[in-house]
Amino acid sequence: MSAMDVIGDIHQEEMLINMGPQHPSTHGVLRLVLRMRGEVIEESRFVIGYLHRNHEKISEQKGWIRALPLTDRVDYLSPITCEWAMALAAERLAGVEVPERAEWLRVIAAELYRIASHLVFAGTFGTDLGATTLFLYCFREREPILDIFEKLTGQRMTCHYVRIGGVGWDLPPGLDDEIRRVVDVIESRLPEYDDLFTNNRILRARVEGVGPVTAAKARAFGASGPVARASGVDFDLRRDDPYGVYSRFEFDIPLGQQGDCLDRFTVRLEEIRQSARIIRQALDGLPEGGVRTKLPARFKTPEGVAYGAVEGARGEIGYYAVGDGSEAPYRLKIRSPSFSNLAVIEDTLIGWKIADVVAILGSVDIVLGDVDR
Amino acid sequence: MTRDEATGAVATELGGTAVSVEGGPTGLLVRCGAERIADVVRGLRDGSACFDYFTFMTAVDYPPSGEDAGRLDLHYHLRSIPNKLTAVVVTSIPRDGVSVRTVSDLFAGADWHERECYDLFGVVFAGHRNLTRILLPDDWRGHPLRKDYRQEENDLLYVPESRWPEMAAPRTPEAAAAAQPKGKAAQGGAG
Repeated sequence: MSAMDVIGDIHQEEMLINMGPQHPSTHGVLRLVLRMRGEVIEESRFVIGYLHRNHEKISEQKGWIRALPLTDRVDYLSPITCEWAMALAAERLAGVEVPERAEWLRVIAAELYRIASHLVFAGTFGTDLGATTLFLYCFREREPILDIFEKLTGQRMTCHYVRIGGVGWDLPPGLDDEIRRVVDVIESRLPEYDDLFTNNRILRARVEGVGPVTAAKARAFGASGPVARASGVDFDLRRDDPYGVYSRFEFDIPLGQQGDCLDRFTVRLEEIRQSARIIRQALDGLPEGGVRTKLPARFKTPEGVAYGAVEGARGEIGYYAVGDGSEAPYRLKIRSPSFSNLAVIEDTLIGWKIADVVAILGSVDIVLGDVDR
Repeated sequence: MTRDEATGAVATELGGTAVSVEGGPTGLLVRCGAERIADVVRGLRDGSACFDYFTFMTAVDYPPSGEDAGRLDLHYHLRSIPNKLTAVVVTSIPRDGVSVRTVSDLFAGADWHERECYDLFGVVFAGHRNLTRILLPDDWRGHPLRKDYRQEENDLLYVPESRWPEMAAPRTPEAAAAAQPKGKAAQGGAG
């Protein structure tokens, strides 16, 4: 008598799995609805918008100056680049000159926060995969960066450092030495991260070859930042559309080969080294001078269209502004990197097992404030 | 390929499909009729200038004023990574009741962006596989980024029967009193 005769017929049924919006591995309020056959995902739909505040409408109502601090809340793990992108759009639209020293200070602040953001990524990615040790190391290293920002701007996060026409404050005395020290320490500890993650066989088994994104797919979806570069898309706004003074620094743009979860991790780790390189060059060559152009009491942007895009920690963060001669943008579109990066993943999950979802999702490093805006 | 070369190449390749192609300070600006939008986007993607990176698409609303009947401008932002150039395709549609062909079959990334444009502007994209609200709740009324949208007129955020059927009945004062916290917390807490 065969086994089938004992038990009877077996069935393979489809199953709907709902993950989130309250789920520790979705990094915020993201909801995934997955149609499964056994353990394999056949269809995935992401439900977003739980953190939608419509920054675009608020900006149209509040005006440039009053809406600028709110951009910190869009990508709250990398606020400097959000402020910078909006200020850049306003400056390009109104033709505002930015003092030389302010441009260099923007570079230092943005690269410091890029390091902090990548450290959060490395830590939380490890936690997603059960490697909690890395999380503690990363947050230990991130803390001194936030201390620097507290000294520089008074805030650890949501800094509001970049202003239209410059930056809010100059470096306080002695802070440049502290930045150097902190950057050196972080860089000296990166080999430990390789030991804990890249060379960890158990972790590698979970991320190597998992969730690959091809370069063509990354381009068609408009994926940017480390997600695109891990897939071999050689694109970095700091080099390809140089804003500020980035054309004066020497740095490499790390690229991945396969675009899998491991590549998305190693690319970011290398970016930390490159950011450290840029910060050192910027501190060495920091010019003297003022840090802020005085704007008219009622700052207005003329009619026209301008696009200010900067390379954030997650990719291309762009503010597309239409001016109408008033104190507010007539229309302000926020092009956020996480939105497009997440759309790639909705498609990439198909065919992978439910156990890989957390690894793939964690490797993209989404910020839901950035997705939902 | 420089910006001027790309402008020339795109103008030649698009031929009569685009109304105008010009090189602006930030890249190419292509204007076309709404019915040709898919042809123009496909031409840019497959052409020699290689605009195969979809950055974003969005709309700008111009409400009617005086003689002007108003319009919605759609902006498609593409990028050519090898040539380090951007191209913005601009097309205009009437504000109400006109659908425009989707480009989500040409660029997978347009799927979510067009949903966002539908959600916030009410632009209908013909041929889109799943044109539903993306950022706002499904029962939201109106399209908030339209200039004539008034929150007060649409301020019915809580539509009980559509979402939380068990909470549909309005609370009586007695029921509200019964739901007050009991014990220490109700007397001002433990201090």
